[in-house]
Amino acid sequence: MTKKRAPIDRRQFLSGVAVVGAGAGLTPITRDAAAQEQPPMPGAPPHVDAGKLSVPSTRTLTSESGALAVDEGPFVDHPNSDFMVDVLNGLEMEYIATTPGSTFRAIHESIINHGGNRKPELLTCLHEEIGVAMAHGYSKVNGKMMGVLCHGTVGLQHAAMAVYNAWCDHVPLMIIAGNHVDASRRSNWVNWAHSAQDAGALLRDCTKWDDAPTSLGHFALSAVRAHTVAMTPPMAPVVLVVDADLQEEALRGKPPYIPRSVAPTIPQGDGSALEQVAQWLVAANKPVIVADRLARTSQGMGLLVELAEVLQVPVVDLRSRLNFPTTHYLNQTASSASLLREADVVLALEVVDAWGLTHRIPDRPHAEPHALTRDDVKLITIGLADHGKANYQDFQRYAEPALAIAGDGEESLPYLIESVRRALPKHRAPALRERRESFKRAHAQAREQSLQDAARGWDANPISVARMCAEVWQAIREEDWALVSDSNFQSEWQFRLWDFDKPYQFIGGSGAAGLGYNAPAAVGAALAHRAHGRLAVNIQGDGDLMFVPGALWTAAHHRIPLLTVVHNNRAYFQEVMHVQRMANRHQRGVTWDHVKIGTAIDDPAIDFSKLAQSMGMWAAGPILDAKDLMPALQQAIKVVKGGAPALIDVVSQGR
Amino acid sequence: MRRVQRGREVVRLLFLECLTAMCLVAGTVGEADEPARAGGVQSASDVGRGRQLFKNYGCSSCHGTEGQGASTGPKLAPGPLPLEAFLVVVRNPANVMPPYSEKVLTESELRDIHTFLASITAPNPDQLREVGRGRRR
Repeated sequence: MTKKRAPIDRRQFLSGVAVVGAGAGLTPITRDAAAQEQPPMPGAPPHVDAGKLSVPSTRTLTSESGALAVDEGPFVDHPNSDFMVDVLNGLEMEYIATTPGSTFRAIHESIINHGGNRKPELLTCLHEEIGVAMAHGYSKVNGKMMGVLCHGTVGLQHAAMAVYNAWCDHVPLMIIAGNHVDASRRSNWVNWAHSAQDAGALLRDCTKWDDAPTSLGHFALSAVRAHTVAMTPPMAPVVLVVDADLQEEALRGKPPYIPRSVAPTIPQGDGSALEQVAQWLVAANKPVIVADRLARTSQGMGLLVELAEVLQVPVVDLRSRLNFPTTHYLNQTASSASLLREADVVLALEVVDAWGLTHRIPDRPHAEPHALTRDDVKLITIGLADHGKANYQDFQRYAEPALAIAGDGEESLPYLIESVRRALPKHRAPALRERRESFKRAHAQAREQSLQDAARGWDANPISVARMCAEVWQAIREEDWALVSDSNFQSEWQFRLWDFDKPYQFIGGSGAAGLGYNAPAAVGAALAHRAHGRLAVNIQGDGDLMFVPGALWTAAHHRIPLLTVVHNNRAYFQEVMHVQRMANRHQRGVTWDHVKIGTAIDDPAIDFSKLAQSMGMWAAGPILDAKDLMPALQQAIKVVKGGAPALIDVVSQGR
Repeated sequence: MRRVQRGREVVRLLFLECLTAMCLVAGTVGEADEPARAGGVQSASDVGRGRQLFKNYGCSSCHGTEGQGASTGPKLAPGPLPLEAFLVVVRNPANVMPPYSEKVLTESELRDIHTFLASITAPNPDQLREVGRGRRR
């Protein structure tokens, strides 16, 4: 059988060029030519000169760091990458984060010169983890999907932690990863190191779908499908692996058809099951609603308020999203332990860990779990959270509910509300009025208690976290503000002191508790808030920030207004407490001199204001005295309202 | 089996809840009559030593440097538990708090810590006004 030799095109020519060291007189030879000149080495594949190919070419040595030493060959007027950008534009993708890389250089250039750097607009990120976390935060504010360009194997691996956070948090984003599929066309060792046989496999356990299109038409189909899959609850990241050669080749003939993205209907809980839930809720004496990753859209909060008010049921907000206003009297999150202990019906809406809601395993050797609820409690779960994969264990312990309804929580609420209205007899009205008054009193008392508690340690040194949050609140309360960071490391003081009453005022946490999320997610969220002129506020842990300090530069570079207040406790404080616990358990070395080893971020202390200033950001601190905090906040807010980010470093207590 | 375990846990929880209730009552009363409850004579050096121990043994990590409390540990001051109850709780805490055995924290040191906590005064009206400045539209 005679082998046909394909004509040498630009890519093949370049990949075949080898300059055999300076001593060889810089004589270019093709691989085929070399094969013809010398007999093959024993065991080597035909037509390959193993000896010559083992010597790095000038192209190899300079391709990542300098100008190419060879002729780039003929021009390409209409690269396929232009069409790919048209597809992304059709998906209404506003932004695409990039840490630049050669495996997607054609798409990069097409976004700039073909797309005019609009829809999508490139966001320069100093680490793929930053780009993905930005997309994560951005989507949680406006519900849109951002793209992230990743450079082959290395970019995907850098991105992996942030993708896992987004996966666990059910947030859509589209990763477009470059790859060199055809091994015979990889021009140098870098191309090999940056390529994978199945690049999507690197993230497959924490993405909902991936594909590696082999043609332009395939790219269009898969990009549209990826968008639809990612945006359909349960939402999650998706990956498209795009061959570098496919990007760089010229578009031949008519561009392929680009299908419309048609959003499917969102899965809703079964009607008869929801009727059953309504019956149980109406009949219950002590019902409780627990909401976690419920409010997907701006409608979610209003629907939950409506359901709670119809029945006068207290709501516990676990706050993977902002589900319920803190100002509403039925927000009884502060009393969650006693409410759950007494409840006869618990309605868990998109609760991440329903077993953990109703049980606890004390952190002691050989401890057995114990229930936090009555034996006869009816636990009802509504959500899509169980639809996960096997490897990563984020699906949580099996909850054994009385009734489990598979369906999107928010989408199921309207039907449930109507069912409750139908099931509710008129004679219950006096009892509901009594409930209402009781919860109003409890709510008012809890809020008053928060003020009293925040005043404790008011002048403490380091600055108390309550004081820090109280000062920030006083500075922002008249603005149209939004908190774009999590609150658990601040002992939830934001939720005890601030008035959250609009759906966009909080975006929840990371999903997987992987550090390196908060700072870039805050920047992404602030980018989404910028379109609405809102004041985005990030209360930022020092440990998380040092995973991804480059996020500050991206905020400064793209003029993303964001107030960052560094909660600088100079330690990985969660781990301080864990080491303390182990030292106590082992009855040795419990003092700070021991516990700080491997946990403290001190000696030298990091000056976050100088760090931010070095990246062109207005910054103040370190603030050591609480009295200096308000003036700094006022200056910082002026900067942010002027359209730039600002940072204040507050040396503060652990929690 | 689970029920037996649960029964034991309930007894344990009841005990601890009684202790907590004592704590809350003590806390309420304590703010009014703190010096009487502190017990014995407090010296500045006892308080200073107690403050140092409170920090050095990691109590402040979870409860705050002034015992003000956080999500990681309840408020301890002003108005800490009576000394006897305090000693019991530190040696056999409920739920998440790690137990401090005699081997790592002596009773004498615990008494100093208690003295420090008992010396902490309630927020003054100015501080309460300050925290309330931003309150409620």
